[in-house]
Amino acid sequence: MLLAPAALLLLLIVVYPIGKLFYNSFFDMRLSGGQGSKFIGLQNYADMMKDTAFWDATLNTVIITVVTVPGALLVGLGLALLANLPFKRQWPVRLALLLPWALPLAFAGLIWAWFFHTEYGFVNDVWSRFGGEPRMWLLSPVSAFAAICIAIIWKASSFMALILLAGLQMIPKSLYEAAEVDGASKWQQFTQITLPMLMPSIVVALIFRTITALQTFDIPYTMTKGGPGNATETLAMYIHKTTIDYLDVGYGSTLAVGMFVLSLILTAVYLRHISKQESA
Amino acid sequence: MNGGIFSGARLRFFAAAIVVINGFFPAVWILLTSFKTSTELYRKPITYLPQEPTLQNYVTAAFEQPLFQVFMKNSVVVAFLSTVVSLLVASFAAYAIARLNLKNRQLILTAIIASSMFPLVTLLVPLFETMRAFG
Repeated sequence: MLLAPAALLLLLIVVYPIGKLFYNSFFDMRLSGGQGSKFIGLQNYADMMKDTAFWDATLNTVIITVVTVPGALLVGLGLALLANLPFKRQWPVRLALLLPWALPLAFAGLIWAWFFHTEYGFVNDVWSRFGGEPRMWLLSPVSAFAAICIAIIWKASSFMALILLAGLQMIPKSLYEAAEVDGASKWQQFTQITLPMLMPSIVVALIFRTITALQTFDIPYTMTKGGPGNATETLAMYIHKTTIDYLDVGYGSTLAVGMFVLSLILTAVYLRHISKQESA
Repeated sequence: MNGGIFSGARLRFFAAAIVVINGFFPAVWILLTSFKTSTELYRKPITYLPQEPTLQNYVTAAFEQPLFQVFMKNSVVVAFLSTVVSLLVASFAAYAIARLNLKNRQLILTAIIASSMFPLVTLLVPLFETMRAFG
């Protein structure tokens, strides 16, 4: 009985739209044309397989995931280790750790786009002070990609650091005292105690990060709108463009199913990890 | 905990500075920018601290943008409603899952986690359609 409201809500905002999504993916539904929808079977899926824009967007999404997930983990681990030092005043450090996470994604994207701005950006200002020629960071594919990854890593490392800091504080101090007595070096303490004890937190943080990274939308959208050309367009942005800008609902649904399958595979990996942990 | 590399107070301060600058820098930049005049914003070389600090931008945003108050109200309403609804629904469900001996507890939990991992953009299409239907 008590589950009924939650079940109803899930049914209404998750199950029904997913069903509708699969249903739509078999239709030719272009809202711009004015003609109604027509059942075309698997034609949309065949189109998707041949669509180079789809594969480019998928590749971009995978690159962003592969670069930013380990990147955010390393930066986040560094921040968590620094923030875990015994400070007299904890709150400035804690607040600084929390702030990037609390900022809306689109807001972070806009700030970083402003930083990388060719004429009025902070990055070019520092760059030219060190003798570099001002660059158009967001207008060349490679540097635009790098700029987006930096922004995502900055934003995501905050979440990583919060989870890892919680993990660090769960490690009993007595372990370090014992290691100290046995004459272990700081580095040995880090690799033999901190890292293994932190592993469960690292795995959880990595999995959550991977799944959010696959859905990357806001930061590239606000920084480059996918440009130059389609060089930084992610899968989520391509779906958005197809559906909202081109009003091609049928094909947009098919793309969304493609993305759903991609995240389903990762979710399955995640759930397997959880059930393994529970049975262990 | 292992203070080895950063045992000295000065090094600890250095560590805190890294974390604080990393976290605060963009927000502080935006705050400083908000006090700049629009001509200063497009001046080269760029300025770090506002040269002629002004509150004009805040006045413009609060009183001269007809939609600002509407946006504010919308955000507050959305935040309030979604918090209340999800708190109500989730607390019922959480109580049921935690306290009652349900047969398919694991299945229910799995379903909830799986649904939260669903890429939201993919729901955009059906929700967009629903929205169009509402006009």
